[in-house]
Parts: sequence; structure tokens; C-alpha cells
Amino acid sequence: MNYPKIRLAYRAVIDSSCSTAWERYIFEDTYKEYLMQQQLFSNKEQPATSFRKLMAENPKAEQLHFLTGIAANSYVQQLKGFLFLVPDALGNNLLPFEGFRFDIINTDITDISRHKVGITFFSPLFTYLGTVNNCYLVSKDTATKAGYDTVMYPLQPQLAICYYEEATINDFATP
Amino acid sequence: MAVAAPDLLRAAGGDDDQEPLVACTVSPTETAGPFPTHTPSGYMRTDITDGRTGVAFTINIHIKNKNADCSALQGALVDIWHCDKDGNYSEYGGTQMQSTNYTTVHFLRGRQVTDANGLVSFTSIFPGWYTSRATHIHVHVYNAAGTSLLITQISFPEGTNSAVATVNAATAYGYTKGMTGYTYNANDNVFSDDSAGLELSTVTGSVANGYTLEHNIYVNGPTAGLDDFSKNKYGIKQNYPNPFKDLTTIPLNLELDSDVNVTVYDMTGRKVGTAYSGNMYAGENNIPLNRGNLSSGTYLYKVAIANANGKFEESKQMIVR
Repeated sequence: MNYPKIRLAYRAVIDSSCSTAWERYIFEDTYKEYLMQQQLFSNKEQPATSFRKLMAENPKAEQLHFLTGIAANSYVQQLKGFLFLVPDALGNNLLPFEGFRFDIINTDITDISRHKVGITFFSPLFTYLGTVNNCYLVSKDTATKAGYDTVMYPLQPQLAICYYEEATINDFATP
Repeated sequence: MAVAAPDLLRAAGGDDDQEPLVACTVSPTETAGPFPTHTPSGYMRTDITDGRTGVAFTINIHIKNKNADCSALQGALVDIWHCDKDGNYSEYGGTQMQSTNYTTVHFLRGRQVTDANGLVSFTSIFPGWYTSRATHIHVHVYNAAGTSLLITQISFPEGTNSAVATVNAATAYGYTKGMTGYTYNANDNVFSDDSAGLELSTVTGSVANGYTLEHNIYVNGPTAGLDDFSKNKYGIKQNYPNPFKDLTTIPLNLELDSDVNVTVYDMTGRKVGTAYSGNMYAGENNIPLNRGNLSSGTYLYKVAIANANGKFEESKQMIVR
């Protein structure tokens, strides 16, 4: 039997209330990077204090999501492709990720406590076998097989399916 | 149920402690985080190719300070970025000028700090070009505190045997456009008014051996004699001694009288104590930190400062023996 394929996405929100070392380093380094990069887009005499104000004044400031995110790069690389924020139902399998996208929720050049950023992690393709016991039942194996080794990731607010592919048509289906 | 925190990088000189087991809770931020090393910005690197192919290219930029007789400016931060051989930048949200959309790779972008000779050097590939622009490299120069000094671009020499003409004909290296439809410097909307050639670089070399670019950039750097104050108007240093057994000191330099809060967290992110909370005078301060009941291990101290310039926070790791 053929099953659909999905990708999961998890959005981590990092702000001044975070206290793990990984989140704090990202929080502080991306803030410092924002202070530098926003100079590309802001008015030199009277720079817009918040990111949202800057976006309203200069739509090109949208590039700051990407430019500020480069400061988070090395910390994401240190995770070596496994997201510690999303363990499976058993607690011994972390959600793997292939890519990530950084975005600025808002920030303020005079007040670090208003800095708030998001990182969305994207998993590789999984075979989706359904939702069981409030968990996504998936397999990392994407080939069609008789039986699958599966992992269960609990449904949670910041975790969502971001890609869905229908099961491929059976070879014996009538054309 | 228990989750073993991932065993990642150790702080240099740290004890080889095992990560504690932590309970898996509903709120994701309460699970143990990895043990990261504090790295410089992902930008800071010499080799910026990130797998992009093309003719080898070394970029040497000399930063000179107009406010100090054009002498070399040391300690300036220099960002450069340019397109790959096909004319594409690493940046999402493709514009009309790009037909391909790269979303997660930060290729051909980098940052360096100028040395005593005012020099920064990058290893890259020769840039391609895109419609309506001549070949160019973007440059952003900041002072040591991160304040912008200059945003500019570098242009390339043109002509029959120039690097631009020779490289764009090098189909073996993947440059497929040639010079058809190319916008030359005289017609380029950024370089057309540069009659003095201030933005024009010198490029030498060959396709086989690679090319080298040399260019001087003049900035309004710090005037001789004035201190270059950090934009954040404070300086927090690593505690000493570190690792420590009973007592350690955190040096904190303030430009203005400030409200200071120093909080200590363990590696799982749990607050374990407050080292200091109150007012501090401008100048050099030393905050003593007693080990108290803390068990051996690595901790994070977060210094939060509030004064007339705004609010700032910075964290560092410390080790208790």
C-alpha cells in the first residue's frame, strides 16, 4: 500500500524570556547583527527604532530577515541536523531537519528586551501513516514497503505539516 | 519520561561533565538545550564560496581613514557580497533580475576585520553579471563598534583583455553569458558618475591561476585621539578566575549610571540565582559572585543593563569546579 508523504515544520520563537544557552546566544547575536544590518536601510539621521516601523518606511528592509539570520547560522549548524526542542513520544528520537528559515518578529534598536525572532525548521520527507494517539505517525523511510519502522511526534502548537504529497498511483490502477 | 540532553560542544577548558537528564515537558523551551560554544557571527570568514563554482578569485580591500591622513584603519569590520557566476545572489525573495531562487544558503557573503595594515582578504569566485548592472562587489564598512562608516560598491576594469571579458568567455568554468547584453561601467546606474575612477579596482591574474583584486576604500574613521566608544555604551568581560571554586569577579564597564541585573542560569535554562540587582555608577565596576550552593558545572550569567541609552543584555558562560 502506498502512503502519502509529508514534511513537518517547527517554529521556535526566541525572545528575552528564553534562558537556555542556545536560545540566549541566538537572541543576543542576532540582535547585534540587526543593529549592524539595519543601517543599510534606515535613515542615518533619524533611524526608525522598531523593525516594523523600518519596514513601513522602507519595504526593502524585508531583506533583514535573511541578513540578520546569518548570525544564527553557526548555532543552527551546531545542532547537527537534530532539533532538541522536538523529541518523539518516547523521548529518544529528535526531529531531524534539513533546512531552516529565520524571521524577525519585531525588534528595537534602543531596547533589546523587545527583540523577538523565529526560526522555522523543516524536516526531510517522511512517509505519513496517520495520526495515532495525538501523534503524527511517520516513517523516515520513503520507499514503499510492507512494514515501516516508525516514529511518533506529538501534536503540539508550533509543529505543523508544511508539505503534503498524495500516495503514488498503484501500478495496477486502470489508466 | 526522560530525555538525555544532546551531547554537543563543550566550552573550551570545561569539565567533561555528563549532561543531566531532564523531564520531557509540554512546553518545548523547558527541555534541556545543547551545550553551544559562543561563536563569532556566521559572517566572519575568509572563504565565502560555500560551494559556488567559478574562476578562483582573491579579494583584497585596504581600508584607509580620511580623518587620519589616509593611514590604514585597523579593527574596522568589512562586509562584502556579490553574485555567483550566473548572476544570482544568496537571498530569498527573488527579484526580476534573478531567475533562480536560493533560499537557505548564504553563499558569497562574508565579514572580516581589518588588520594593522587596514587589509581584509576574501577567497571567492569571480562574480558573474546580471541585466542592467556591470560586474560589481558590494561593500559595507563599519567601525569596531558596528556603526556604519560607508556603504559602497567596487567596479571592474573593462576592455579586450580585461578579467571581466576573459572570465565571461570561460565556458569551461561555467560562465555561459559571455558579454551579450552586458551593461558597461559608463552606462551603469551606480558607476556612470565615477569619472575619477574612485570605485574602480585593479584586477590581475589569469583564468588558470585565478585572479586577484586590489582596491583602496576611504572612510571617515575615528579622529585621532578620541576613544571609539562602543555603540552599546558598556563593556562586559569574561569572569575571572574561570573556572573558579568559591569566588569569581565579573568586570563591567559602564559609560552611564545604569540599573544592572546579573542573573545566573544553569545549562537547562533554569534560574539558579541573582548575583547583583541595583544601581551602578559609570566607569569600571567589578561584580563579585559567590559560588554559594551551586554544584560543579557550567552556568550562564546574564547581565541586563538599563540606562538613558536604552536596554542591553549579554550572556557569558562560567564554570564552577
